[in-house]
Amino acid sequence: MSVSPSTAPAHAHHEPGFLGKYVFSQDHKIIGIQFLFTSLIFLGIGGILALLVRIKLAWPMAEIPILRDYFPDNAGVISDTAYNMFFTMHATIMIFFVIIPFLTGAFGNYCIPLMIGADDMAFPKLNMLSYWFMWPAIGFAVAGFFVPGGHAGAGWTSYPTLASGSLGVGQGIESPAFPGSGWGQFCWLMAALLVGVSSMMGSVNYITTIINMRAPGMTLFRMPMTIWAMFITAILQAFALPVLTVALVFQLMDKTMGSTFFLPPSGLDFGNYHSGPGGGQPLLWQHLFWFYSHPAVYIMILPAMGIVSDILSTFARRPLFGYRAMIYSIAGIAGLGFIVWGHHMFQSGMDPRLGTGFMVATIMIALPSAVKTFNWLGTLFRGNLQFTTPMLFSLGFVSLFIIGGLSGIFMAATPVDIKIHDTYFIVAHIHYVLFTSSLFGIFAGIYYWFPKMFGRFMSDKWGKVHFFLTFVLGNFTFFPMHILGVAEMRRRISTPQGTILEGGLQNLNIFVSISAIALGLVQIIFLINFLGSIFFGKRCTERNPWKSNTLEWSAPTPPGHGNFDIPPVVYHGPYEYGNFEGKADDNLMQTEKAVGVLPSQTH
Amino acid sequence: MSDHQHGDHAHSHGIQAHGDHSHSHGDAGHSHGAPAHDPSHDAKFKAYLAVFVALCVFTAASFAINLALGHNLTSAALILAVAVVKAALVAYIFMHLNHDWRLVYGIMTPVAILSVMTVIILSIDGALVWGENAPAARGLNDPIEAKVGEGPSKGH
Amino acid sequence: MSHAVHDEPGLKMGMPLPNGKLAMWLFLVTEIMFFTALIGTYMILRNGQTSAGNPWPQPHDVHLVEWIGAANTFVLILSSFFVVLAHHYLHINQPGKGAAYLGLTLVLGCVFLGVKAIEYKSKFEHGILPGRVFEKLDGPRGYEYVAKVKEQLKDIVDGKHHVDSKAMDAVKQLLTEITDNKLSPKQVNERVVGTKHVKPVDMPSNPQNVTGILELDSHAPISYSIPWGNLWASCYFAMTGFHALHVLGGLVIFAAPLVKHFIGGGLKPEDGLFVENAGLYWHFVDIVWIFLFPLLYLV
Ligand code: HEM
Ligand SMILES: [Cu+2]
Repeated sequence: MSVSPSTAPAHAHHEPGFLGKYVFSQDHKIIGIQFLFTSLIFLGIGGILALLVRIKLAWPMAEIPILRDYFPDNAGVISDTAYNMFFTMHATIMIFFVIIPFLTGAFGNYCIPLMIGADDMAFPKLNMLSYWFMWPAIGFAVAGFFVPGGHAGAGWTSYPTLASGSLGVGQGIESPAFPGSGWGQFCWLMAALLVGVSSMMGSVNYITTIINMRAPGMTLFRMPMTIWAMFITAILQAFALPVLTVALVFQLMDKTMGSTFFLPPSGLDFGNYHSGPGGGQPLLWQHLFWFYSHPAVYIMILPAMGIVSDILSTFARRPLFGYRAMIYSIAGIAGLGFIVWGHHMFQSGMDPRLGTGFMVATIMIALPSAVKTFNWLGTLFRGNLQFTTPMLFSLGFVSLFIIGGLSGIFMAATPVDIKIHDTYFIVAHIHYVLFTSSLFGIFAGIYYWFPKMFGRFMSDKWGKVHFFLTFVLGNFTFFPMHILGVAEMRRRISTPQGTILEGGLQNLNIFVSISAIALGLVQIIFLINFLGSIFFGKRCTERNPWKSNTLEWSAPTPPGHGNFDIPPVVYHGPYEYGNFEGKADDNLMQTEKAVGVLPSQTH
Repeated sequence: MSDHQHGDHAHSHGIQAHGDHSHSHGDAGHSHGAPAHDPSHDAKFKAYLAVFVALCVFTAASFAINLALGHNLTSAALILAVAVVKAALVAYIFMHLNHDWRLVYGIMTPVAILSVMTVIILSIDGALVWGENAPAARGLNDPIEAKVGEGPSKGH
Repeated sequence: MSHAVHDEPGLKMGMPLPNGKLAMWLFLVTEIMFFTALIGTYMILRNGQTSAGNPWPQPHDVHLVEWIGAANTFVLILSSFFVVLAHHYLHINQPGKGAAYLGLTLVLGCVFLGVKAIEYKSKFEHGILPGRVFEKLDGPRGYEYVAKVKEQLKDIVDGKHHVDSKAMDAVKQLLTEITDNKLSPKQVNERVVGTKHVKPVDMPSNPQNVTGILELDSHAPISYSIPWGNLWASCYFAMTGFHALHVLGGLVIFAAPLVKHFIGGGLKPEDGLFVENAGLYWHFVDIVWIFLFPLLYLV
């Protein structure tokens, strides 16, 4: 065995220069913070794109003065092509460059070694590489806006043949049907491919680290939920991502080399143009894509669930209710997550009998999800709640995830989905689970770990203002979408149509857009609070400001290179909150030896 | 997840067992003896050689099956079965799964199940015959195909 | 696990596996899924799109030679054997032999890629490339096909390309008939491959029972229709291409310990771990080929 128990941190502790310290850093904390800033920047960009989408939907024909420079032909009216590009890139950026890097990149990197008591990741260089592979991806994602034909516009799902169609060898990669299918789509594919490589490196690293680098005494069933969630997320990534990679490569080959994986046997006709002969299956893309992307939605929620579990227990000052059940339900969600991808394809022409199997499996996922929800409520029940900002966001997470989960069950039933597929109902679902759940989890995590990261607190007062406004406006923005969806407002169509205009629902649509703009503006409060607090926030000198139990709070604030000054030794699980004999505090850190019965054992 | 727990306990002897030649298929408690004069090393060499010969024979066999039976379902099944045996031999002996399976099964079993299951589910929609719906989903409803006489839903 | 409250914590947590080896296995997990998707897609497209009347191309339709594939299989198997031996000799402290076997592995990897290059060359020569294969001769593609064949026949008649003298008459006759616009695309294809070898989808409405130019000279550089040829080429190049890239990666990985042996002061038994991990990867690449060979060449 190369790693012996007494081995001190493996690195030599020489001081790296500025570049080595902040740019090409191999320190997991710096890499985590790099991911954090990168994701924040893209949160801004993605948000602006979302607002442009909302503006188009509420006022399709409005001439918008500031946009006049960008759409001179239309006197500032957002064109349909631009609208396609905006919603496609909004989703792509939010998923691949915001939520996933936030959760696995920022929190994964920052928290995993600290919470398991390791001095760094198992492979620091690989870790650095996984961050730097984000940049070529970002390069492609941004470059796409400036290529001829504009960025990809076929949706973040990039279904063939709309996305992949082209005339064939030697006739350019753009399909006559649709300008964004040319270089824009090419950039989209490359960006997704490179993000995948980055995530894959991260996931191998995280799994190895969690399995092999835990501090003495940190058995698997003493790991905090955040770590469990990261662990299972990393496994999901390792299993699912390669399949997406193959799909992306196929589409790239179809686009640039004339291969015919997704081109139907008859080829394609675009008016007077004909593509070359095909032979493949357009539906195959959907299978491969959703084989990754359904597990990917769990990649986007499980870490947030882990973070929220830890925060709820900390601020309810009670042991997490049903710790083991929580772990098993995460594992159950992950396992089932691999056999439900077809619920995105009920309407696609896939065999209906196969659809039944997918429907049953999808509805089954509600079980582990419900277990988690009840356990969170159980944790809160008769707790000694402390309404700090991270706690508020966690409570927001629990309540709004329920709405998102329930709308998911609606759509999981094939007959219901046939009506609401591709309507705003889906958009409502997505945003309840991704905005008001995943992003709330991210906000909670930022407020919670900020003192550890930067040695200062974020303003609690402005944090609460941020929370209340986000909570209210988030619901104003996303709840009406359910109604619009049932009224058959289609998603991805630039002008509101039919029923919703007849039913007078366009006013609701405008209300949504106004709320969305307000919601966007409210995030400025967060931004100022975040940036301001880095420099001017109240100093945090304690190691453990929240009186929490997990290992990161036993390290110095902020932790230095190599993390722990006292190598941590773990004696029990992370959720021992309650009364202890001869102890003023109501928490027992994992590094403290227990005297008497532990709170988690009295249940 | 029980494998990891197992790992948790197995570690302590794993550490000292092979101090000098920090080597990995040093599964705890299963000693190879001194590195330089391993009496079992001839035996190992022979095992490797045997596997190599077997692989060559199997390759020849699949080639022969193809020559003898031509292209049909039986020959395909036989040839693929031979391929599976070959792959298993490489994995088991060359990749040392005979020693390391107990360490990696926790990750290899799920991936094995998942990969087989994925291909099966995809085949159900993409390759097997599901009546009227299938050809349309596969993009096979074009006139050129129709002329062939037998529709794609026959002949499997 | 019991409620181990007062347990003294163990010394090291985790598995008795070095990080590198654990990570290699995890990497192989991602590779397994990658090739599952790649090979699975091929099986689905091949079985799903074809029918009895319009079958998947046979190896000889697409210039795939079975024994070359088998020989390459042998090369990879032998190299796998050598890697095992290299690791074995490092393990029992005979680094010289270890390095020698690594060197042999490297050579065999190059041989494999060389053979692959020759195979690719024959595909390029015959235009069996994604999107460039002629099929579906009833469509607009049929007229492109006739134009292409006309050009090729002219080149032969002008002496730019050579065919067997037996076939020359047929070439000249076909050229005049095409020039006179007497033949439909399917009939041209019939003259090229011979009625016996025309695929059912490409059979003209009144077959003439002619002997094809390619029957007289199988190397004549003339295009012919391959139903599903584009899909076949797409799958073939995707699968073998990614496999070849993996072989290339393996060569780079094996070069490292060799450089160390010859320049960096010799291999040590500790390098066994690196070689073992590299070997795991190499064996996996071998296993992929063990499946690709029968799936592409035999089945
Ligand atoms: C109780 C659990 C859930 C169920 C039963 C469920 C079910 C569904 C179904 C059936 C659809 C397809 C709707 C359609 O297109 O017709 C869907 C879409 C979607 N779900 Fe969920 N879901 C659940 C949880 C989640 C979570 C936790 C996330 C993400 C964090 C998520 C993200 C998405 C996204 C992004 C889409 C839209 C994909 C697209 O663009 O078409 N879902 N969900
Ligand atoms: Cu889904």
